[in-house]
Amino acid sequence: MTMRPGAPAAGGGPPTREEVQALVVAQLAAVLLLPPQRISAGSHLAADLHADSLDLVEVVERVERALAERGWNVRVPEAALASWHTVGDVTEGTHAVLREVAQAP
Amino acid sequence: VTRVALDAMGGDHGAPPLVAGALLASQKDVEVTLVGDASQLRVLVAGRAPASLDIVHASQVIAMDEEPAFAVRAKPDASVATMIRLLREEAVDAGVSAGSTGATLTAALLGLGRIPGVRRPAIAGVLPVRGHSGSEVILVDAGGSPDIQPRALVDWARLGSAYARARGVERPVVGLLNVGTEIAKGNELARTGYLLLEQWVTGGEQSAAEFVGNIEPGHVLAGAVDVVVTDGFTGNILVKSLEAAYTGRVGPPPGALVIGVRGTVVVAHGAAGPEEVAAALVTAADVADRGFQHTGGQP
Repeated sequence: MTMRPGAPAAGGGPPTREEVQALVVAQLAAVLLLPPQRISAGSHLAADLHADSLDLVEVVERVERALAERGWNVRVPEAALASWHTVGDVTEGTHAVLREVAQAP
Repeated sequence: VTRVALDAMGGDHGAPPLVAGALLASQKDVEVTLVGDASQLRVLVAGRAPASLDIVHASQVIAMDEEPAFAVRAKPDASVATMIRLLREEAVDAGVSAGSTGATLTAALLGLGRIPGVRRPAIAGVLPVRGHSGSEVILVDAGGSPDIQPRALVDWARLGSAYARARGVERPVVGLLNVGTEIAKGNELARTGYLLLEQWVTGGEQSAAEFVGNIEPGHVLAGAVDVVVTDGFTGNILVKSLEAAYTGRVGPPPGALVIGVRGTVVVAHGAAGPEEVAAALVTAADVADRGFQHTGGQP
C-alpha cells in the first residue's frame, strides 16, 4: 500500500476544523500562560492576547508536533504565518494545510 | 574541561573576529566547537587550531535584518540553530552567538524549551558597575523583548535573582527601572509591574530576594541594587549608554545570558572583537559549570 505523504498509515480523514481549533487554543494557552476560556476564534493575536511572532511560531510548532503524534505530518509555510492576525486565522490556515496533505495523491 | 559551541557566522564583521576569539578562549581552558561554513572556517583556523577545536558545518546564516522568529523556522540549518541543536543533543555544554539577539533567543526557546511558568525568556546582562552586594549588577532584560506584559517583570526578577545568587549574591536586592522612585511614576508597564513585584516578594520570595521598588538609572550606577528589571527596549538603551560611557575603562563585556530556557546560551555584542568573543565563551563555560541553567534557575 502506498501511503499519502504526511498522512497516517491507518488512513481516515484529517482532524476536523473544530479539533484543530481545540489544539490551537490549548497550545496558545500553554505558551501565553492564559486560561483557554479567554481565547476564542475571534481573538486578535497581538491586540487581545499580546502574542508576537515568536509566540506564533512556538504555537504553530507545538500544533504541528501534536498533529504529528496523530500521524499527520504537516508544515505550515512561513509566508502564511506572516498573514495571520487572529486565532481563527491560525485554525483556518492550519486546517487548510491539513486538507492539502489529505488530498495529496 | 567545558565545551562551548560558537555560532561562527553571526556578528557584524563575519567569521574572522569570532574565530580569533575562539582561539583566545582555547588558551583559557575552554574547548570550542565552531559552527558555520566549514570550508571558510577551516581556512581561518589553518595552522592555528588547537587539538581541542572542532568545526561543525552549518549551511545557512540568519542575517541581522531578518525577522528572527520566522527566519529561525525557515532556516533549520542556520549556524545559530545548529549551535542550539548541539546543545540540545548534549554534544556541547553551552552556546555563544554574536548574531541576531532575537534569532538566538528564538532558537534557544524553540530548541531547548522554556523553564516551566516562564512566559518569555530574556537576556540577563552583567553591567560594569558594582551593586548592593558588591557583585556586578544584573540587568534583565538587556534587549531580548522590547514589548512585554507586566507579569514578565516578575519572571525576570525571579530569574535574575537566581542568576545573581548563582554568582554568589546571597539575597539579591531587586529594583524596577523607572523615571522616578514614587509608586505612581512611569508608564502602565512600570506601574502595574511595581504592584506585581510587590506581590512577588510578599508572596513567599522574601528570603530569596528583596524588592526595593522603583529606581532611576543613577541608583543603578550608585550600587543600590543587585538586579534591575525592565523591558528589553529600555534595558538595551541602558546597556548601550553604559557601553558608550565605559569604553576603555573596563574590560570586554562578558556576554549576556539567555535566561528562562533549558540550557546555557550567551549572546555577545554584534560588533564583538576577539577579546569580547573570548570573554563570552568563558562566561558561557562558567555558567555551564555552575549548573545554573540545568536547575531551571529556580531558587
